[in-house]
Amino acid sequence: MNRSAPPSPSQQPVKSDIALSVRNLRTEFHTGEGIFPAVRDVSFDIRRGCQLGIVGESGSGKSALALSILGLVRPPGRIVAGEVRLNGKNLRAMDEASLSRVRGKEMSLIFQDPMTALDPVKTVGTQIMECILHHNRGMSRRNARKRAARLLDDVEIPNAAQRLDSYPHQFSGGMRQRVMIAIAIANEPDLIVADEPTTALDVTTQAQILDVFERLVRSSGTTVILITHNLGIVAEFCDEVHVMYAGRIVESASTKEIFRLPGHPYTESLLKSVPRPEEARRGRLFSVAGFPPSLARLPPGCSFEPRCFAGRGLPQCRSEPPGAIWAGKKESRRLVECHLANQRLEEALAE
Amino acid sequence: MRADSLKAFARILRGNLDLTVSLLILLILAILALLGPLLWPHDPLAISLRETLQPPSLSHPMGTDHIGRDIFARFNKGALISLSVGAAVVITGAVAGGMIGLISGISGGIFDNALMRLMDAILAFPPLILAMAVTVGLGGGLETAAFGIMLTSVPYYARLIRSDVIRIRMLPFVEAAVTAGAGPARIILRHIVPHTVSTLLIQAAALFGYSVLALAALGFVGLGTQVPTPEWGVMITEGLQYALTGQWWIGVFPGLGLLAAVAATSIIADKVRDLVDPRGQYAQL
Amino acid sequence: MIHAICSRLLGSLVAVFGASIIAFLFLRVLPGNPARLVVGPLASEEALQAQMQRMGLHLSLPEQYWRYMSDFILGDWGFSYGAGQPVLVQFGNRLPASIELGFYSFLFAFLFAVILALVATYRRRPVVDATVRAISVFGMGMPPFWLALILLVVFNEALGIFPGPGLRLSRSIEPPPEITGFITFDALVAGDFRAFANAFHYLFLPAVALGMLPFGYLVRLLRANLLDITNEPFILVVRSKGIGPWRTFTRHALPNAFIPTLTASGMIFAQLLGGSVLVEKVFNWPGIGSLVVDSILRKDFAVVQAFIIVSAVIYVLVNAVVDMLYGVIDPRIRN
Repeated sequence: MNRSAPPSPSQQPVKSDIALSVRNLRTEFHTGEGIFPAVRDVSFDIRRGCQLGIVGESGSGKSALALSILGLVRPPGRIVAGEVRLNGKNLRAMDEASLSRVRGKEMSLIFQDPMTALDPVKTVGTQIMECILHHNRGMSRRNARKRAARLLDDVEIPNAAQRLDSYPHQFSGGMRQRVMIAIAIANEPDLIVADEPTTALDVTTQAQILDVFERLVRSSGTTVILITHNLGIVAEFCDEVHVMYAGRIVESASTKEIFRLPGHPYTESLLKSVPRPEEARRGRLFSVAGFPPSLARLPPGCSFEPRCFAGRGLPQCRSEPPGAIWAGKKESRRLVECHLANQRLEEALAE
Repeated sequence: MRADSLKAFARILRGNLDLTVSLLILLILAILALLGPLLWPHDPLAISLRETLQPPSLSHPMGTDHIGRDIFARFNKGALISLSVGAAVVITGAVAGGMIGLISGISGGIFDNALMRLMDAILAFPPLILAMAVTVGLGGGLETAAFGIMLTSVPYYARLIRSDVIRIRMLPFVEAAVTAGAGPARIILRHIVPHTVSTLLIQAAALFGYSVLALAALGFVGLGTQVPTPEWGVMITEGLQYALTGQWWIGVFPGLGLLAAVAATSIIADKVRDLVDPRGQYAQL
Repeated sequence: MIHAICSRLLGSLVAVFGASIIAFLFLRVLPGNPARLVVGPLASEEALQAQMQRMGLHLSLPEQYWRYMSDFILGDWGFSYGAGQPVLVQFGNRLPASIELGFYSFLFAFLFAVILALVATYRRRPVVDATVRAISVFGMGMPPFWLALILLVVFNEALGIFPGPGLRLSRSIEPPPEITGFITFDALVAGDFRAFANAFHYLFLPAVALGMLPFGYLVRLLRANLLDITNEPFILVVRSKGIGPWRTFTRHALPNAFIPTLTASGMIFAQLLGGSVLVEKVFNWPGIGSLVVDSILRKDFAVVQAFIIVSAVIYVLVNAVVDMLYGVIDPRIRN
């Protein structure tokens, strides 16, 4: 990797193996109806160059986690506790000015809905160049424009140089998402957080966009957090998977292992519910029985207990919130928040 | 049922302080307007040359004017005029505009087109100026001013109701009623009109403040209510020449009444719209 | 694009035509004989008939309309018997004062509306937002003529820090050489800053009184638009690029919020036009508004009639121009 970030005197950029480290992160939404903890004391590390998938139903706190990492949670939401370390630097301790040098430079965001993610009254080129110029003081507009054109070319937009002067509404959804990717990779960041980058697109376009995205991040060794509810995309794209439920990561494992042997009953339900094609067409993505609990009134024990096929009604699951435990053996070891994890994994392995 | 809706109303009031205060203000103005003349001994028109230009005191809480009339009594009478004429303007405007919109939306074709061009012609005037024109043309006075203001508001109702009617006409339940053999009159009265009522009400509430303000404005320039009628706009005109000689109370109190009435109704209109139809497009003049 | 402009202009023409008929009809059914008002109550029947002939009152209504409108287009806006001057001349004399006042009112309204809308939405403090909303409600509910009176009572009569009604420039100050008739502008051109300051001093209270209604209206509109825009995902994306909150606000949120606000221009123009009639009267401002009020009181209806028709024409034009500007400014409509 040839990065030209000048070492700052105060904080040595520690190029360790860990790109991003999240500790006890807690994000709450304070509304008139109560406090909704969308991210509840989440901790994890990501190895450099890893493609991490975060999956879960809508409302599980995936998007809130993504925005919390970037420090862009908007009122009435706010991060109330925890640490987010990118390249060893604690982003939570930074002021807005320092953060604005990190965002878009060392980490960037690809947003859910390409139709609303670009400023409608600015040209595509302006929006890409804004990101380049902001982080490269002294670069001429001409050079920035050249680089923007190259980026559009990289994301396989034909006639890139001419398309710089187009407005977002002149682009299709897929094209806009390519522009979003171009913006996200503009300054060769170490980390890209992609929040449901393909959900709003049709299946063919989804595949194309993912191909482009995967090619670009693999070739540059960029760390990626891919947030999605589409397990197919996870299987294809990610090295590791976190499963989120009610604001917690309830299971983390390698993609291979999680598909082979789900440790958490919720993960298992998710895998079983991968929609058959005819259901997907009708817009049904998940069919885990029941509904996610309200974050303002979580059950006292395991938050999945009321819907759990394995633990529903068990005294321990009802009363005691499970902590993260290492479960499984050797290559299938993973972190799971489930009282029954070890027992279930052993049984499954025995079969 | 009754108690339920009362309870729901109380809950809304508790959650919306501004709405509660606004309703209270209107209530106070209404009480002053209706009960003032009964409870307050002074006559709004009674001249008393021994008590001219008295500042506010216990016997004259809002002072007296240049010919010794009690401003509090005049204020109360002004509240009655403003609120009742404002309400009359809004109701007649809503009915007339609603009818035009209904006819336009149901008939379609050339008739619809002609009516809408007529509405465009009315909308080609700045509202207050058209009200002025009508009042000048018809010879001034409270009734003509009210008519002029009503006329300027008609297109706003008509356009809203027309688009409502066209939208409702396409809805499945209307088509179902047609196939079930319901006659046109029945469809219009039973299916279309009830669905336009809320639109009409919200627009009327949004235009009430404008009506009250425009009425006072026309009175102020000498076109609407004529002296000695204690209309708030006229009272402000009368207060004008005393404003710079220290007798501020003559013009200030009627204006406060106007401000209170208009601000309160606009808050209420906003809230009602938020509660009933937050996405609707309503004109506020 | 050309097609859209043409059909918009055609629509405007139809509206102006309709408006002129309405204005003409209302002003022709005037009770009393306009000729009688001119010649006076003591004039003989022959004199009255002669005046009616001169004013074209013996013709049929369509003929009268045709005559009035063709004269009007040719610049003959009637004769003000009260002032002994053609209406057009009177308007010409008084127009600069009104435009200058309107300009500063708009400036005041726009500037402070942007600031308040920004304060209300930038940090999203509920208390600040509620205060701004309250200010907007009061701004919109304030009768302009009453506000003018209050301002005079407080700042002239009680505090004495602003001049009273009647003048645009202190008598003790030499007026700058007239170029446009806008005193502040002429003073700047002449480099006479004392005259500029003095003229501004005289303009201040009337401009505030006249600008209050558009101010309240703009605050309300801008606040709502800004809230909508700042909730758009693209604002988050801009922030994720590392752009700071302030720059995001000024470069992305504001331009997007201004575009829908543009549609309000017609309404604001109408508020200024109607308001000028009310406010100029209180400040005795030598503009068209006070001329109209005086003419109403003198029953000098030629002036009022001309004012009403001109208002409608300009109002329709403003709305048409705004519609077209909208297409130029908003790329989504432009292409």
